[in-house]
Amino acid sequence: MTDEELSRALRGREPPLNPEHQARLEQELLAAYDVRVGHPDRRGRSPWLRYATAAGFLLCLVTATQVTAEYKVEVGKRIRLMLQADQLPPPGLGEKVAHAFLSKSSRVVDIKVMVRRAPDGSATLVVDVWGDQLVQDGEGLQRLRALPELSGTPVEVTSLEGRVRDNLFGVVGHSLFRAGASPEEQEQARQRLIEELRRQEGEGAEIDVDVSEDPQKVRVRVRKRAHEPPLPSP
Amino acid sequence: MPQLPWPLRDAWLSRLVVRGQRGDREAFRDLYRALYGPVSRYLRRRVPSPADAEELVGQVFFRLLESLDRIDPRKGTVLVYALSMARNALVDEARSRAGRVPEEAAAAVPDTKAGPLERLMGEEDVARVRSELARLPAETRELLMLRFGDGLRFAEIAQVMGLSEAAVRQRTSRAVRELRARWDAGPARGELANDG
Repeated sequence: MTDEELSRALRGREPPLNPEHQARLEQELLAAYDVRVGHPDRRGRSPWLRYATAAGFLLCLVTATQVTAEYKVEVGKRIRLMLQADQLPPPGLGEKVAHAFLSKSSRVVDIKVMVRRAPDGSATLVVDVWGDQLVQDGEGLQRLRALPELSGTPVEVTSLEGRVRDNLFGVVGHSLFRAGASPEEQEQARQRLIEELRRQEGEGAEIDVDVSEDPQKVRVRVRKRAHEPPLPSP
Repeated sequence: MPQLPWPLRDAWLSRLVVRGQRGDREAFRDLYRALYGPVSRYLRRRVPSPADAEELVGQVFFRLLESLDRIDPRKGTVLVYALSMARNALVDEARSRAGRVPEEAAAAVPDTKAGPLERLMGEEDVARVRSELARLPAETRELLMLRFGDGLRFAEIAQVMGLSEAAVRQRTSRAVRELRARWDAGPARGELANDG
């Protein structure tokens, strides 16, 4: 007995395939496939439609990069503690409050602590924490509630936001801006943003980055003007 | 299915599955056409009635369509996946019949009456081979069927039967050795070649 003999014995009588059954089953399967994938018979669909779809997508992408976009950037947290009338914040409270919003991965640029007094004698302790990767509001509030000196003190947390106007390529500017939020850091980031935009637009382009700050928000506006190349003389 | 070396065949079938999953109707049709032969032959060898075999072939392909999205070609070859479904369909069908052991059904020795095998080997030898095969345990018989009948590689048999490749090699080798010994004990009829 050889392998071939064993193979023949096990294959047995090999009946020919039934083409009629194969064709009928193919039709039934393809009908079920069409129902399953949610489109009817696609045999008539021309291959050029696929290329047209891809070309349309590419066109949209190119257009999107030219559209001016505005997006917000969180550059820190403002924590406001409403103190009772005639209550003075204990020394070091501002730092404690700020540290409640910091983690190991946080990058702090600046911390500002202010006390605002109202005519009725009540005071608000305002702590601005400028930086990246601060802890979430909920977690920060939880840590604040754990401080015994803040027992019963109303606390409010808002985001310090910057606003960047640019086209979608300005994501580079976004990341540079996030690197700094204090006046010194902002100026440094502004210069780096200008350099980056000039690199993108070419040496001849006029780039102006304006950073304005009010107590609530930091606004960054980017203006670019590219010089048209001189027309060739006839 | 085009005659391709097995790595190319497996890659081609995998590609058809992925395209079929993405909604490519022609790829799914090509996949069906490629698998119809192996699946159909697998079942025809194990089911006496052609009509029953064709019904099972239909079940296998509809199950394949239902599970098309879940097929991950990285986890095994598509051919083995299809043959495993055929084996499961066979076992399910056997379970529905009273008095038949599913594994026995999957490993049934094919009916060779009045076929070309008799003309090639002689009725006496065929009867003897079938007799020797019938004495083997069902799992061993199925191993030999998959190896010598369906032409699968050891790794593919291992996937179909849920065994390790080493176990498949060992058991197949042992079974062939036993068959050789029994054959040699009877009238001389030639030598067995390498079993690997």
